[in-house]
Order: sequence, then structure tokens, then C-alpha cells
Amino acid sequence: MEIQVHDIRKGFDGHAAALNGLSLTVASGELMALLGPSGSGKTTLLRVIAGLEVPDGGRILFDGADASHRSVQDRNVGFVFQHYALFRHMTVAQNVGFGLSARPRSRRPSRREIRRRAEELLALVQLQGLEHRYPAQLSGGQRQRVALARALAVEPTVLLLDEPFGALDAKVRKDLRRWLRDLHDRTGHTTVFVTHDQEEALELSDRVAIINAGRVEQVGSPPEVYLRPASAFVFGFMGASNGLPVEVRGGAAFLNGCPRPVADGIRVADGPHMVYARPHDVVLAPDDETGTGLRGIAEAVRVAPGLVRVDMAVPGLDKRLELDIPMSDAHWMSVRPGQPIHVRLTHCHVFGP
Amino acid sequence: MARGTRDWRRSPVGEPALARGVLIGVVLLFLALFLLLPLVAVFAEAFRLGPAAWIAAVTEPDALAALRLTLLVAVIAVPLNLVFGVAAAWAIAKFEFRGKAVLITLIDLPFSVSPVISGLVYVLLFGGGGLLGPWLKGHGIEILFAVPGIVLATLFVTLPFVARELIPLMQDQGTADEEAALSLGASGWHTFRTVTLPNIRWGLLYGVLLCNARAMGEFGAVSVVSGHIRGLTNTVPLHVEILYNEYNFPAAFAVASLLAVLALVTLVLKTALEARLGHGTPSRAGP
Repeated sequence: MEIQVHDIRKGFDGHAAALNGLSLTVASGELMALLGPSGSGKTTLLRVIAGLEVPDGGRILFDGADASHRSVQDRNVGFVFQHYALFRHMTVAQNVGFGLSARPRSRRPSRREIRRRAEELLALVQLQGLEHRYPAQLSGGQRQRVALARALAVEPTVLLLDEPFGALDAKVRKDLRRWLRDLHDRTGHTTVFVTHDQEEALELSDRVAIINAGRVEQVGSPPEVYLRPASAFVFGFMGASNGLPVEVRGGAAFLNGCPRPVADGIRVADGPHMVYARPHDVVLAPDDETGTGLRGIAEAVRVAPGLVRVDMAVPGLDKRLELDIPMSDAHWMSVRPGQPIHVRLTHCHVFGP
Repeated sequence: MARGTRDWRRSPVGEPALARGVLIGVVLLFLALFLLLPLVAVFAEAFRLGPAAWIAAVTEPDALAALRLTLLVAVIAVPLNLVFGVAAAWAIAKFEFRGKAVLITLIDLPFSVSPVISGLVYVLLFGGGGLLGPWLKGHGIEILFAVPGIVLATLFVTLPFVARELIPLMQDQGTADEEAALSLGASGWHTFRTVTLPNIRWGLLYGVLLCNARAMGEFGAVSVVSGHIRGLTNTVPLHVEILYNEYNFPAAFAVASLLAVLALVTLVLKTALEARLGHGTPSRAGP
């Protein structure tokens, strides 16, 4: 099932619009992440797709058919809530079978059939033997999987997950991530999930939509959005970054007051711009007068697993530059707080001021 | 104080033994004087002339009529307020709408108004010189000084109990469960019956219990609208008052002891329900 979101607008009274004419297409069978900071509108978008929220304007198309006016019940989506919303007074099996037993009599399977479906789905999510437990007797990861089985029981055309791993601890989160990817590959549902964790989005999804202030900033495969960010926001959201205000002259970027460029070969018009670089793309370099580079003072040196984090003060720059030096670079041992160092940007992005 | 003299069992934020003793003593004395003693007195007075006199007093025709009326009023008022309370709490807790604050305030009105005033309002509305009185009289409908008036007054004073109990509970639970049920294809009614209602059942029972106790025990509002017609418009509390005013103390206390028993049963059930509400349902502990 292909989902088309067309020019959706949604405001919450008094506040800034939560969705600002947002358009997006999720291909059939795709696993897409909606990635964005809190308050960006990603959860609202998910709820609009599900029909839990009525947009102020715009259309939702399922396989080209307008679904905007269909009720939640008629959209046939599987929705997994952030805190699972399991029915606390029902057993695991009753939770999973809820959607089937809630059907009108004419379409309701027999009781035995419902039980069989529930057992089948619990086997799929690897929870055999827990049929008679109550949600309160399960761990967070188990509850999450019950919620997923419950959503899958109604044979949804689309699976929507709101921060599916948000309430789990790091170890469980990693395992479930891989497991969800496997499950998606086996069942082939068009799946959209919301997350604020870029690592999760990059690892799990076929494509990532980065949402900011109610709009889509960029849609693309994980390598695309990571390596070719469309905006400073996307670059910043994908990981730690250093921003340098520069003046571009003839393809070279100059930091205020420095005669040597910090980067060259830049294809943007002359004028003020921002150069962005990840901490691991700032590397120690010998201090020669030719080529690009930056001089400064190492302010703090901290050891982290496999790397050394250095805060570097650069004259004319009010923020400290962050460097991640891999321990495989033997020069790290010579970096001492208070000592002058010299660095070079191996990779950077230039966006407007 | 030297370290060695400190009682090691004492909590670091506790009071010295003397202060504790005095405080506990005052509370116990207060409870005994104002709660326990009157309760004991009711039963002592009720049985002063022996069990036979007690049975005679509560099975006397007027007393039985009063009992019947009280039960009838409760049977009508409690279910009506149950339906209203659930509906109001549902609307307030699960939806956003204009005038919500006003509605919440209105629901509290019967608690803040003296019951006598509540009764008087009905006299002003339905009485002979009242707003609707002449019209009602013209159509032969009796409300004041009759059973409908008593039911209306009771409905008014017991209106907040169920709603008040459910609103915080339902607000606390949010709407995620209902949304989940809807997204699974359940109809609104199915969702209410299988998801919302089970989630609030203990709170609902608690509210109904309190509502019932008040419906059976209400005096002020009912006194104003009833007209005190023996055997016809006397509820149990009104009957107690009449007996008392006639200096028939043993009978008055005998009937009063029925109300006291009702109160005790209510208390026991209430405590049991509070245990369920507090930590009985495993789900309330939540993730």
C-alpha cells in the first residue's frame, strides 16, 4: 500500500502550526522513518495518517484513493502507541485478539479461529507461552511486541509505529530494532515509524524523512541523508557538528581574520556562508603554510572508547571546535591542554548563512 | 541529646516519644468522643427496651413505608446519576470543548450549596406559587410533597459523586487505550464497553457506593420537599426525626440504627474498594 500525504496542514489552537503544508510519499512495502526533534510534528503526521487526528487541510491517499474522510476504523492501519496502550484488564491473548473480536458479527471469525490467530501472531513476535499473562506481568520489550502483534492481528495495510523503542533500555532497543527489520522483511507491510534517534532511523529504515517545524526537510536513503544533507538542519540533526561562519571568495572559505582558507574547492557564490564539519572530519595536520587549515589551542582533552575528544579554541570563533581523534592516529598523545594545535577539515558541507 | 540514648528504631524525621504519645492520645480521644461514642449511643438506645421493641419499631407500618420509599428513591436516583456521572466524566476527561470549566464547576454546585437551599429551589420551581407550579397543577401532575419531588431533590444532592470520582481517574488514564481500540476497528460503543468501562470499574463502584449512601441518608433537601406525610412521603431519615419530635426515643434510635448499619456497611465496602483503587489493580502500577 502506497501512502501519499498531500499538503497536510494541522494547527493546535494558539500554538504555531504543527504541520505546515507537509507532503510525503511512502512507497509500497517500504520501511520509512520520520525523524525529527520533539515538537517537529512527526507524531502528529503519523496520527493524521492513522486518522486519529483530523487535519485542517490537505489529503491522505492510500494507493491513490482519497482516505482523508475515512474514519480510523475504516483505514485499516495498525498503530503501535508509544506506551503501547495495552488493555490492562485483558490477557495477552485477549489483547492480540481484540481487533478480530471487535468486528461486527458478520465478519467476526469464530472464537477458536481468533485464539488460533493470536497464538500464531504471538509465535511471530516470539512470545509463545505468555498468552495468559496480563500486560503488567510483562517486561517493556515484551509489551512492545504484544502491541505489535495486536496491531498485526487485524491484517492492516499499513503499520504505523510511534517511537516504538522510546520507552526501552538501550540493550533491548538494539535487539528489537534488528528484530523489527526482520519482521518487516518477512511480512512486507508498508511501515512508517516515528523516532527522534538518528541512529535508529539510519539503521532501521529504507528511507528517512527528516521533519522540522511541520515540514519535510529531506527524504532519502540513510546514506543519502547522512552524506548529502540538504540543509544545515539535516546535517546538524544527523550527528555532532561544528559550524564555522566563513566568507567564500573564489571557491575558498575564509574564517574571519585568517589569511589561509579553512576549505577550498567550494562551489557556491562568493559571500558569507557556514561551513559544517563532523568532529571526526577535523583531523590533526602538520602546520604548513600551504593548503587549508586552522590554528588554535587545545583546551580540553578527554579520552573516550577508541578515540580522544578535543575541544579546540580558534581565534575569531566564539564556539569551541570539537575534534574526535581516533586512537589509531598516534599524534593524539602529543595533544595537551593549553598547547597550540593545527587541524584540517577532510570533509565539510557549506550552507547559506 | 546524647547519641546513646537515641532509640535506634526511631525514624530520623520522627518526633520524641512524649510528643508522639500526646498527639496520638489527642487524636484517639477526639475520635472516641465524636465518632465512636455517638455510634455506640445509637445502638445502645436502639436496643434499650430489648430486641423485641427494636423489631416492633422497625416493622411498624410507617417505618416500613419509610424504608420502602428510601429504597425506591435510591433505586431511581443512583442509576440516573451513574449514567449522568459516566457521561459527564467521559466528556470532560476525553474531549476538549468550550465551557468545560463551567461544566466542572456546575457539577460541584450541589456540594457547595446547603441541602436546604437545594430543596427550596424545587419548592420555588414546582410549588403552588412557583414558576412551573400552576401549569403542573393544571395538568394534574404532583411533584412537590410527593415522591417525584423527593427523587428530584435526591438526584440534585447526589449528582456530583460519580462524576467527581471518575473525572480524575479518566483524565489520568488518558485516551490512548480508546485510540488503540478504535485503530483496531472497534466501534465507539464496543470501545466503551470493553475498554473504557473495565478501566474505570472500581472508581465507578466507589462513586456509586458514596452516591447511594447519600441518597439513602439525605435529610435537608428531602425534608423541604417531602411535606412529611406519614406512610407516604417520609423517608427513613425523616421518619427518625418525626419519632424523635414525638419523644418516641427508643423507636427513633431503632430506625436510626438502620441508617447507622448502612453507614458501617458503606465504610467497609469503601475501604475494600480503596484498596483495589490504590494498588489492587496491577495495571495502575503501570510501566
